[in-house]
Amino acid sequence: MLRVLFGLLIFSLSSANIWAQSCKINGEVLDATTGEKLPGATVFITTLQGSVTDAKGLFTFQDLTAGDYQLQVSFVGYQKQQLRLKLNADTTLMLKVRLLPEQEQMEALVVEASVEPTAYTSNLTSVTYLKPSDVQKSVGMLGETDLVKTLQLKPGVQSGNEGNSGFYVRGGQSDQNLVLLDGVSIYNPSHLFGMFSVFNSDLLEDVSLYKGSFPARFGGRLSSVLDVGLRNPDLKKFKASGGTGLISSRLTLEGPLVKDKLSWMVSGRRTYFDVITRSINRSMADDPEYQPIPDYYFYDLNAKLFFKPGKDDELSLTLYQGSDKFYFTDDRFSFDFLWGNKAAILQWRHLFSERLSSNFSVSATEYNYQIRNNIENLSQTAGSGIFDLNAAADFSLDLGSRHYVTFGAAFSRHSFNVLRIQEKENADALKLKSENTDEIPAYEGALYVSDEWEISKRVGVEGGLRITGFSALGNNKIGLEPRMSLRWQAARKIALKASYSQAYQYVHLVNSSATSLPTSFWYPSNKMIKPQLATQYALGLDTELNASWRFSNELYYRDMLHQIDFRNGAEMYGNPNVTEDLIFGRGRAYGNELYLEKVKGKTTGWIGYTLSWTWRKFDEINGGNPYLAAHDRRHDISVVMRQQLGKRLEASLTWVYGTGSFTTLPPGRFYVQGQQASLSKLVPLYTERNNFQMPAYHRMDAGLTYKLKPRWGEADINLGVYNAYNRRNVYFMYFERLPQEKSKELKLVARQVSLFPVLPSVSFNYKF
Amino acid sequence: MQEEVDIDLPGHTPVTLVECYLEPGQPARALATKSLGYFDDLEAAAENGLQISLHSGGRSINLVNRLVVDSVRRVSYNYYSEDTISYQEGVSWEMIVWNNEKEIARGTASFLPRPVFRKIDYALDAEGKVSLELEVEDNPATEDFYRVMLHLEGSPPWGHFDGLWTDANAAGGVLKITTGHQVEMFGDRLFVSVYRLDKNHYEFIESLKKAYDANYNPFAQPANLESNLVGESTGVFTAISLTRDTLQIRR
Repeated sequence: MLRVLFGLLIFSLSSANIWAQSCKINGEVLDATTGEKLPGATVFITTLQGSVTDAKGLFTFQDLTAGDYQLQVSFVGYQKQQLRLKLNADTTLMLKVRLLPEQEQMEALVVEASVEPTAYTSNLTSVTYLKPSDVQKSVGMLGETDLVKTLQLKPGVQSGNEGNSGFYVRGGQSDQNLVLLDGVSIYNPSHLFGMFSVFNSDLLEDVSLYKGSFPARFGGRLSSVLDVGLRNPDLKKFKASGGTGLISSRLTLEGPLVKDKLSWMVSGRRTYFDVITRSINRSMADDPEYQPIPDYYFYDLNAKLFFKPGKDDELSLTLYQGSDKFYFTDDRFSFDFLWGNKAAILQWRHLFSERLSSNFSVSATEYNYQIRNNIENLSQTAGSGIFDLNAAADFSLDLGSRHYVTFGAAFSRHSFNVLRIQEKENADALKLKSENTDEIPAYEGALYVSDEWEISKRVGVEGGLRITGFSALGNNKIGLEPRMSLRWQAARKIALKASYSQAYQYVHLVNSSATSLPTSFWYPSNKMIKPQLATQYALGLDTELNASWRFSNELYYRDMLHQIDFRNGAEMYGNPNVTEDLIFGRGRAYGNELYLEKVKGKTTGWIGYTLSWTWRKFDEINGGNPYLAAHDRRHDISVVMRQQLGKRLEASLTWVYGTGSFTTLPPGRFYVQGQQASLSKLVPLYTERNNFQMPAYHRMDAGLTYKLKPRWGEADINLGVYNAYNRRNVYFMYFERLPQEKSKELKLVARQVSLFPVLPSVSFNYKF
Repeated sequence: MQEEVDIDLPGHTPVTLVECYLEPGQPARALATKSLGYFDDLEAAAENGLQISLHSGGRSINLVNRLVVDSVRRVSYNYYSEDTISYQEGVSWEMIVWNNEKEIARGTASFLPRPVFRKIDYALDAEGKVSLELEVEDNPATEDFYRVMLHLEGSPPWGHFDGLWTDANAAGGVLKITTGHQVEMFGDRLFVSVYRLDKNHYEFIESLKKAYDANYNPFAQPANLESNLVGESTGVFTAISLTRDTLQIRR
C-alpha cells in the first residue's frame, strides 16, 4: 500500500507501576490526514471490553492481564483499524491511533462496515458529540454552515424561533448555556441578531454538548455546557483552507514555525451584506421615495499558536475577536449598533507521569455592546458589557483499581458594565433618568473532584462534587454541586444509565426579548437576585441495533429555582434601573428524547424526537399559577439524511418540525378617554402570560455537494436550498391599525413577520 | 416578510373601566366603559346601568346615567350631575361605583396644592423651536409629581407637548423643568399648563403610556393599566390641581 493508512505511536511500552496489578492501555484516536482528535470513536479489544473516546479523543482500558490482544478502532466516515498488541506484565501501553477517512480508500478497497460511536460504554449521560464534518456537511442558511444550528437538530436542543442560533436545552434559557471556545467562555455566541453563531466550522476539532449532568469540572450555568475545541495548527506543513459563499468568505492559514514543535494558525471570516446594500443604495440614490438600507456586517478572527516542546508538554494560545456592526447615516440621523466578543486563553498541558496529567490555563473574555444615535444636535450612547479574567488548573489522576480521578480549581474575576447611558444636547434640555457608569466587580471560584470508577466490566459510576463560591456587591454565596452518573451494561451493546446533578448559576442575562438581542446585559447575583439552582435527574438507554443503526432514549426531569423574568409593564430599554423590574420564580422541565441514527452505508442520518414540557411559576404572573414558558415545545422532530450519490456527489436533506412557541397577546382592549381628546388611547388588556401559541415551525433544507479533484488539493462546490418549500415561519406577531376606506374608524389586524423565504445558495470550499 | 393573518385570540371576561376627573368649575361627571374583544367594534364599549356616587365632607353627588359631550375638550361622559365641583385645597373626595347592588369600585382623591411657578421662560433653537424653561416650587418634605402640557393659542387645548416629572431632581425647594425644543412658532402665545398629580394618578398615566406602547410593539413586555381604584373594576379617580400661564413667543 502506497500510503500508510494508519499510524501507531508507542510512547512508552513499559513503566514502573506501583499500584496496578495488571496492564493498561491509554490511547488517543486521531484523523490521520488532519491530526484532528476524534471524540466518540469506538474501541474494542478481544476481551470484549468496549470504550468510546471522550471529547479529546482519549480512551482507556484497565485491569488487563498480560498477553496478546487485538484492538479494533472504528469511527463513522473512517476506515476501521485493527491492531495486534502484546502487553507485558504491569505495563501501561500508550497509543495514538490514526484513522484515515473512507474516501481516501474508496477506489482501492471495499470498506468493511464500521461502527458508529455509541455511548453505551461511557458513564456519562446527556451528552451529544459533533464531528466537524457534521457541521460542514449540514445545509447552511445562504451557504453558511453553523455549529449551533447543527446542534439544534439533536434531541433536547431547541431554537428560540425563526433564524435564531440561540439555543435552549431541556427547558433552560439561552443564557443558562456555558459556551466555551477552546476552554474560554463566550458570552454572546451569536451574530446577526442570533442568526449565525461565532464558530468558524473550518476550525473545529471536537464539539461536546452536555445537556445537564455535566462533569464536575464544568460549572457556572444551569442548563448545558457547549465545549467547542479548536484544532491545533499543523506541525508539519503549511496549509490553507477556506470558502466563498453568497454572504461571506473565510480563509484559514496555518503551518509550522518549527517543524513538529511550534505551529501557527490564523483564520478570518467576514460577511459582505454591506457591500451589496451600499451598491443598492447608490443605484437608488436618485429616487426621492427610496429608503436606504442600513449597512451590516460581522466578522470573526481566530488565531492559535501551538507549541509542543516534548512528549509531556503542550502549550497553546488561542485568540478570538468577533464583532457585528449595524449602521446607518444620512444628513439628519445616524446610528451605529456595535457588539462583539474578545477572548484569549493560554493553556499548558503537562504529563507529570503516566498516571497524572494536568492542564493549566489563564484566560480573558469580554463582551460589549454599544448603540450610538445622533438625531440632529442630540446624541445618545448606550452600552453594557462584561469582562472576565480567569485562571484554572485541572488534573487527571489514574489511581489504578479502575479509579480515574479528575480534580481542579478555577477562579474568575467578573467585571460588569451595566447599561451605561449618556445623552448630550447643545441646550442640555433632555436628561434621561440617570447616568450609570459604575462597574460592578464580582469574584467566582470553584473546587471540584470527580472519580470515574469501573466497578466491573458491566457497571460504572462517576461521582463528583463541585464547590462554588461567589462574591459581588457585598454578598457572598457558597454552593455545593453534587454530580453522579451510573451505567449498567445490560448486554454487550446495551447500556442503561441514570444521573443526578445540581448546578448553580451566579451571573444572569437580563434579557430584553425572546430573541437574541445584543441589548441584553449580564448581571451578578446579589441580595435581590439569588443564584439560580437546577437539579436534574435523567434515565437513559443507549444501544446499537446492528452495525449500522444506533438508538438512544433519555428521560429527564429538571427543577430550577430563582428563575428570572420581568414583571408586566417593565421598561426594558434605556432604563438604568431595570433590575428593579425583575421578578423571581421557579421552573420545571421534563421530557423524553428519542434518537435513531444510521451511521453506515450510502445513506446515513438520524431522526430525533423530543416530547417535552417547560413550565414557569412566578407569584407576580398569572396569579401565581404555573404556565408554559415561551420556548416550551411539546413536539420537536428533526430528520437528517445524507445520501452518497457517487464517488464525488453527496446529497443531504433536513426536515425539522416544532410545535409553536408561546407569546403573550391581549385578548381585549380598553378605550381610555382621559381628560381631553389628546389623551384618548386604545390600550390592550392582557390577561395571562404566554396565552397564545404561535403556528408550528417546520422547514426543509436540501443540499448537493460535488467534490472536485484539483491538482493542488481538495475542493467542493455546495448547492443548497434553505426552507425549500417556502414555509412562512413566524418570527413574531403584532397588531396594526389600518384606516378604512369608507369610515373614519381604524381596523385592527394581526400581522405575522417571517424572516426567510426559500433561499438558494452556492458556496465553494477549498483546502490545500 | 409580513402578512395579515387571522388569529383566534383567547376569550376574556369584560372588565369595567371608570374614569372620573374632578375638575374645579366643571360639573361632576364620569365615563364608564367596558373592555371589548381585541378586534371588536368600539361602539359597544359604553357601560351603562351603573350607580356612581361622589362623597366629600357629608356632601354626596349621585351621577345620572346620561350622555353628555364636552365640545371644548372633545370628550364625552355617560354619568353626569349638574352639581359643580369647586377647588378646596386638601379636601378629599370618595367615589363609589355599584353594579346591581354590588360594589365594583371605590376610589379616593384630594385636591393637592396648585403648582407655584418661580420662573417661566423659553429658549429658541436655530429653527425657532421653543423649549420651555420652567421653575416650580417644590416641597422637599413631600414626594411630588407633575404633568406639563403646552399648546399654542388658537390650537386645540390638546396641545403640542405632554410630559411627566417627579421631584427626584428638585434642589433647594425648586424643580427645574425643560421640555426640549418642541414647538415651531413665532409671534404667538404659548399656554403652559402644569398639574400637580397624586402618586396613583401619575402611575396610572405612566401605565397608560406603557400599555399603549406595548400594544403594537412585539418586543415590549405586556403592560396593563395600573388602576387607582379598589375593586374588580379598573380606572382612575382624581382631583385636578392646575396652574396655567402664557408666554408670548418672540423672535
